[in-house]
Amino acid sequence: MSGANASPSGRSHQEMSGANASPSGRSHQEMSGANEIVFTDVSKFYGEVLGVNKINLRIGPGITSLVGPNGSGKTTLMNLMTGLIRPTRGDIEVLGTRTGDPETFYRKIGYCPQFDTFPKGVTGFGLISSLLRLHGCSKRDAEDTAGRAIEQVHMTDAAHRRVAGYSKGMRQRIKLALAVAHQPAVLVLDEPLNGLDPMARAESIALFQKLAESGLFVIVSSHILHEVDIISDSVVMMSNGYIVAEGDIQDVREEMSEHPIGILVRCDNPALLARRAFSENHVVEVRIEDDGTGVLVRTRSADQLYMLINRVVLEDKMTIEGVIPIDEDVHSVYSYLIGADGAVRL
Amino acid sequence: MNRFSEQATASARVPLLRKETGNAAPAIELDNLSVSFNGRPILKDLNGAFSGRAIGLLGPNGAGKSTLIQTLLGFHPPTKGAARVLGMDVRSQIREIRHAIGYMPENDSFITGMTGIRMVRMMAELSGLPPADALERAHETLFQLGLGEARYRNVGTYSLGMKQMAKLAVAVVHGPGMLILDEPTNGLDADGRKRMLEIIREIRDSHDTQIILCSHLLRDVEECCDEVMILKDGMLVTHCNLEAERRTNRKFIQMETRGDTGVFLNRIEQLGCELAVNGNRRLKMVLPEAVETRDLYRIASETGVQIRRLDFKRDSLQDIFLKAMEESNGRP
Amino acid sequence: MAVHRRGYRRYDGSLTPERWRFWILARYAFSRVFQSRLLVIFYVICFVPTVLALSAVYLSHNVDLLASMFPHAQLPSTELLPVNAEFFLFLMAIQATLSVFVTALIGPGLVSPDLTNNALPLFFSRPFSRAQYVLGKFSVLFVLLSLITAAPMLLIYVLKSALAGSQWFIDNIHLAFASLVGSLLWVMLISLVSLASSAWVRWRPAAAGMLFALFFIPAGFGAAANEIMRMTWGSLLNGTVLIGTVWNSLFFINDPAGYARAADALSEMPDTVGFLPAWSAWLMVAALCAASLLLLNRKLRAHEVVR
Repeated sequence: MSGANASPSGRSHQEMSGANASPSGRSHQEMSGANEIVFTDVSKFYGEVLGVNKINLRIGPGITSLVGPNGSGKTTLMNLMTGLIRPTRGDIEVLGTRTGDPETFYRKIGYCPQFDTFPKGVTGFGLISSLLRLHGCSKRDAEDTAGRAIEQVHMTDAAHRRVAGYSKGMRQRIKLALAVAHQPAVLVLDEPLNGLDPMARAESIALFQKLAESGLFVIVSSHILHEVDIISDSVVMMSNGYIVAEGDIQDVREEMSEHPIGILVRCDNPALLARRAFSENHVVEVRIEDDGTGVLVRTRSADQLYMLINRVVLEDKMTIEGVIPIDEDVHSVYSYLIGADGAVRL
Repeated sequence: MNRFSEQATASARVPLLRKETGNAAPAIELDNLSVSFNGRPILKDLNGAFSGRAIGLLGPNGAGKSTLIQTLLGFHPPTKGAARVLGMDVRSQIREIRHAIGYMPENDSFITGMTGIRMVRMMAELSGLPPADALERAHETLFQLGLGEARYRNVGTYSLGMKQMAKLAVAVVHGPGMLILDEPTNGLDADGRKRMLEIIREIRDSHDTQIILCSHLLRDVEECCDEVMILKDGMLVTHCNLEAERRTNRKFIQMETRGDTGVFLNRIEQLGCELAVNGNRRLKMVLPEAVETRDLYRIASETGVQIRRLDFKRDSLQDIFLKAMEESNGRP
Repeated sequence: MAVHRRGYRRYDGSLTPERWRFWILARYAFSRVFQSRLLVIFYVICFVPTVLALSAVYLSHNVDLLASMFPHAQLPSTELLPVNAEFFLFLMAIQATLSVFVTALIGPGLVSPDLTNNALPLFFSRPFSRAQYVLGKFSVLFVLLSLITAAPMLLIYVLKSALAGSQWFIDNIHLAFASLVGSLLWVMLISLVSLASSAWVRWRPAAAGMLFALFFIPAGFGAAANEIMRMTWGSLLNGTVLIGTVWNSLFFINDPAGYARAADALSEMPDTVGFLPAWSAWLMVAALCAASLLLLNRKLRAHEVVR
């Protein structure tokens, strides 16, 4: 991971708008945008209907996941990022280029949208090589590069068949090849794993990770939160057109300090751990599980709780079966910040 | 005219195999089942008896999952061999089977111009329920699935999540003994998916209905199913019991740490553990027989590393699936 | 006090007999069909010619009533309005035309939406066969159309018999038979064709347009073919001539002279050439019905066939 991400960079959104100094000590205005995607006070309205409202966002390289209920503005955000629509207000800069400069802009970006329609009668190979010709490649280059892109998504066998005859998973992979073929610096993917079987999912995830390691910006939107947890370097959570939280998920969680952190400890002597936990000041709630196999501890300081657990294991010879932070993953943060009805709780 | 007199309908009563017979028939039995379309073999010689409370049906695209479901529903007859659902043969007793099955298709599926309650009512009546019972059960089902006021609105105006619930309502309203759910969480957002899986588990735990869950999301299957069948290229490559698998994974550990892990990892390897580091501070390891979690804690505190998460491995299904795909590649 | 737990229970009550289940589809379709105000108004209008005809029959029997209404007219003493084959044929033609419009309003909404929205697996995963599905949808059209085609004929026949006496009833029973069978044949034909075309076309407005197209376009081709090849078989594609020939053969079974007159009248209609033998018309009607059923059989599947 790059150095910029190693320090806590999670921000929940109230603090962002007020802060002048970012963690690395430089002020907002001075940061160069050359290696970032920057949204500054961006709003998009479709007539009266809200798309996104007052977005301030900086995205760095690596895999960033975009999460939120249907209708929260994820697709609008992606369309803004890829220049397909213009913001009603505000500015978007991708790697230093604005959307007003299409020649440069569109070379840097690859978009894999959710829609499933293709020109009639075209083969997978034909589609990708024509796109590359549009980017100015010679016929030879276009065909070679298309072949390589198709190989990356494991579609070489079916490349010369018509797209109309592809299954859903195959169409998804061809779309992916289309987005990476011209070797963009930024890859935006709208639910790219939809309809893929487990193997194709794992392959695509491996591909994203490989691309991210080579320095690409990979922005993925997904509903499958446990996958988001595994692959993302950082997460952007949206609801009702606003950004609710962004950054590294563990750091976001730490910032939500008003909500005590819950940790489930499965052990052979839950009562003992419960007694020891109660005698600590930072512990807010202790609950022994119904089946007696563990204890759920809520604390204001996860660090101190981990230290306690360590002590108990070594001093009282407790056998630990599992230590599981129950709400440090994306889904718990999501559930807490964005209620079941999509209402935001901050 | 009382059409619903006891004599007329006694023979039309659905055989409640679980309650009437002491010995419950397996949910599905396949007996050298082969199915071909236009001469092309899709399912080849499937064999097995499946009787879990919830059975997962997995496989890559094109493996034949949809064809198997279609055969069990009687949409397509078997070319060779036999299949039995809840003890009833697919060739000769398809009407009885359809009384006892509920199907939730994968794609968008609804009837326009009708409100939610009307659609579910009509479907219940088509399954043979008398109109009064159909109305009662339709309301009950919609209530259990959380479609409140929305039931009086046109189904065409429903959001995707609501449409999925309406499809599920249509599948359960007539109280089937077996449910076939094809990608039930398709297109749902995170909360919708959570609710759908909760409801599926509720139905499973009611002890009255067996479930066949067909999905690409291994997590879904892992959370709901106790038995799994994996198809590839029309053949059954794996049939296993997840409960049994979970009990045997005792020594695989997943860990998350904080702090400089260099020395820590070395010491652990010296103990004899196999390690795999998975970016994002996640570690996977296999503990040899003699090593306990306590030893890990001891080493952690000695090397200044904080263990933030420790858990026995829970994604056994992913391994099973990958192994099944690799193994079958070697087969003719 | 008790807490009521509701779980997912099996159904163990009694079931309805299978052979009547097609009617469930019809019941629900009726209530949906009558939600459209346009349709209800149009349907009521379809009864206007019938009401006029009934009044005409009544008035022709009560010449004094008529005389009192028009005191200066010179009225013949004989029967003013003979209720004979021509009378029925005239009314049937009007009602048949109206029924085409009604079918175009109702028909497409019966099958196309189910196909577009992939509702068929929901139906056929139940103990409900494709035949029952078609029968259910067909019966909606059959009932509604029969009420505006066959029912009026019966009403007129009954009224006339009441006015003219039981001898008239017995003497002219063939008229009742012919008008009933003729109307029902027409209803069956356009119902099946409408269902088949809405299954084929899938998009509702297109299915409605298709019905009209099927009425006019083949007629044009038929007339052209007749001209070019100097024959009369092209008229088989002309809906009016086709059903007209069938009706004529029904009404004039025992009356060759009358048949010849009617056939002449038919062949003198604009855009028709010559004269079709009755057997060919019957055969064509049967063929169209069979073709519709075959198309329905192909299009109504519970699943997409793998290529």
